[in-house]
Amino acid sequence: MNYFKSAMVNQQANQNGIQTITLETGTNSSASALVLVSPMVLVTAIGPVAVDIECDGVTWETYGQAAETGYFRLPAVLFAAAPNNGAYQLQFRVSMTSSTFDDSCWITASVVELEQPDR
Amino acid sequence: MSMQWISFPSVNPYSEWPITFAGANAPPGTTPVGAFFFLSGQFQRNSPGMFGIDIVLNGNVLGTAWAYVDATEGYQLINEVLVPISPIAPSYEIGLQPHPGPLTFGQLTPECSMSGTLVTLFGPQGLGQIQTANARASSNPPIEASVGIPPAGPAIDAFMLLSGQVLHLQSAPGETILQVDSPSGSGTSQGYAAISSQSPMAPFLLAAEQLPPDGQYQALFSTPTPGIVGATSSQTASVVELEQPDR
Repeated sequence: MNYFKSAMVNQQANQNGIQTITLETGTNSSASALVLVSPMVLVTAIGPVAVDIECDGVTWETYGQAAETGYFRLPAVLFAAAPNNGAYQLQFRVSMTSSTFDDSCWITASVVELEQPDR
Repeated sequence: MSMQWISFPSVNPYSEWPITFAGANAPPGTTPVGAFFFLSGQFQRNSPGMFGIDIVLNGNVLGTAWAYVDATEGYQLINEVLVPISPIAPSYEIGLQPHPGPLTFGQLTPECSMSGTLVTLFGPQGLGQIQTANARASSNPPIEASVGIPPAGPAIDAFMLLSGQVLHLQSAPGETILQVDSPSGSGTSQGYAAISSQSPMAPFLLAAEQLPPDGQYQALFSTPTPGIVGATSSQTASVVELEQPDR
């Protein structure tokens, strides 16, 4: 028996605005999944920074304080996701205007699935 | 048989400690068999050195999130950790406090941001249980974190959460990588750092591919880019293990 399956994406952002990445585990029988995401943004003004992460129609926020301009990794977010046939789409959006994604920013995302036990 | 993860995210950038996390309602026919808590966030630094944030439940320290501070002003990300919750209860009041030590290198202020997630694993009675543990890497090479879990039953499977910092040594700001190799798997995370600065790497999850029988897990940290993981950085490994049901 093997209950936990994982997939990891370490992706460079490629344009300003919304970023979308997909995690694929190659399974189709998961009971539920745990997703960990950690975005990095380019900060153009010091102060609060926030990024919204949408998965399964639910939006999660990560928030931090940038003490200087430049690249800034936000605190990671861990959340549960519904089974989705081994494919999990995440959409990222900067929700404060003092920061942005550009082609040098990175997003790291991992998923661990808890699969149905053998019957 | 089925199991279910339920998590309760909470971002409290302006709240005062401690934070209260509500417990989970068990789905029909199930009972909670285990729970763990995920912590991520920033603290305010005030001098160079290692800084830890203790996660406290009912007066007991569940675990510590670490980071090395290399500047005197601004904010610093901690290494993300998973810590076990015991005993399982309807709700939890989880506190955060600076790890005690002879010197203080940072503080928690209202401007700091902390995110916590409580994850509860449910299953039919007697299906099994979940155990968690976490460890900070040693301060000298080889940088290896060993996580031990006292066996309560044969392990079915496990996954690891890995996070840490890299001291960037390139002559110009640029990309930095943290690499982890362990019997359970391997992976890398990306980051960006200024010259000679500590950069927090993005955390990642690895599912164990083969389990040792004794519940011992090792993670070896390194960086393929010009950089150092060592005494002036901190790496953390956390393990969640699912065990065989009682027979």
